[in-house]
Amino acid sequence: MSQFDDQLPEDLRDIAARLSAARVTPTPLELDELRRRVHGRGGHAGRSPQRRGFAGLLRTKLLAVCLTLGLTMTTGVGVVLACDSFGGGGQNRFGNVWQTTSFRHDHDASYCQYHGPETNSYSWRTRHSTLTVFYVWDCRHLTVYFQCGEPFGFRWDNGGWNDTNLTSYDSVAPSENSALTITVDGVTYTLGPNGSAAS
Amino acid sequence: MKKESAAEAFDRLYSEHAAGLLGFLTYQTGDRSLAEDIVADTFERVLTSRSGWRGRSGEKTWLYAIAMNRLRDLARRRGAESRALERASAFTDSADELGAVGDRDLLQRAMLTLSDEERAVVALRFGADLTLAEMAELLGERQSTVEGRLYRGLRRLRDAAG
Repeated sequence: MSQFDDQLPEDLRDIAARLSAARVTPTPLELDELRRRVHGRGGHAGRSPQRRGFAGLLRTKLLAVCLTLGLTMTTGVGVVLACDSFGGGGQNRFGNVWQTTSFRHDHDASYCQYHGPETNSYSWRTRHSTLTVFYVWDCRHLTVYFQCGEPFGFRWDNGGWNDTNLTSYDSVAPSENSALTITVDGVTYTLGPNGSAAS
Repeated sequence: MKKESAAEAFDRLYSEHAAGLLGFLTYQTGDRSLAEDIVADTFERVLTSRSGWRGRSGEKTWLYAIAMNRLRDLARRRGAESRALERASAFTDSADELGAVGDRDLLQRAMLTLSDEERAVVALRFGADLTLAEMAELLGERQSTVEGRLYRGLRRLRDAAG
């Protein structure tokens, strides 16, 4: 506790201690990585950090998926690739992906061997911006990345709402889930076994 | 005394202030990834523009001023801040639904119930450990004004975060 905290009124010391304890403290490794980003970004000033962050994320995830697939192929394991292009995916396609990537928990290692990791993204024009949902299924976990120009909320199946108050977020799907619902400015967007829909 | 090269100055600035900036920006935005982007932007600006560097005594204030300007640019461009505040009001009505949320998440959400000015001083004080004098210099305000705002912000935060 700092000298300043010692001088705080009694009724504020608890919240001050909680704030100090919850402060983000990056590891040396994280700081090094961030420093490399700064040095690697020279000449790209002027772009939105939000866009850059998400674009970087997309590139990173695409690279990871393709490297995984490439490694699998070169090690002689027979596979059929199922690497979606970003931005694609219709309703039928989504329904198929949804079941096999498992919010229903019906996948297994052999299935993944033949179908491989999956990535896909879905976009909706909202009233004031665009909502993009990008997912990566790595044969073990389904990670969903949200990007929106305004705050949004989401929930898995009938679980509790996660009201992010943020414009970008990521979430790993819990097991036994079959639908993801997102709300933006009062409008609901659903991804599930029957495809994608807005209401 | 050996003059510090640009590279050495950058490394020192980064080592001394990157973690504090990240702590401040994470509390200020509620978004760790966005905070990292703004930290990177801030230091990128340091690399590309040395003109605003006022020497070692003012460098901390200068860095935080760059970061706060980047935040304002983002808020202006996206208009997200006001919408986030509107949604945060809804959050305070249903705080009891968030029992399972970690304290950091709870505090970060509660931060959004503060006014812009209150959030800034709370984030600077508890995210970056800036003193009242440093905050007063950065914000161009009297120290007593900053102190009053900080206490007000803490009380509102205490009420919102339970």
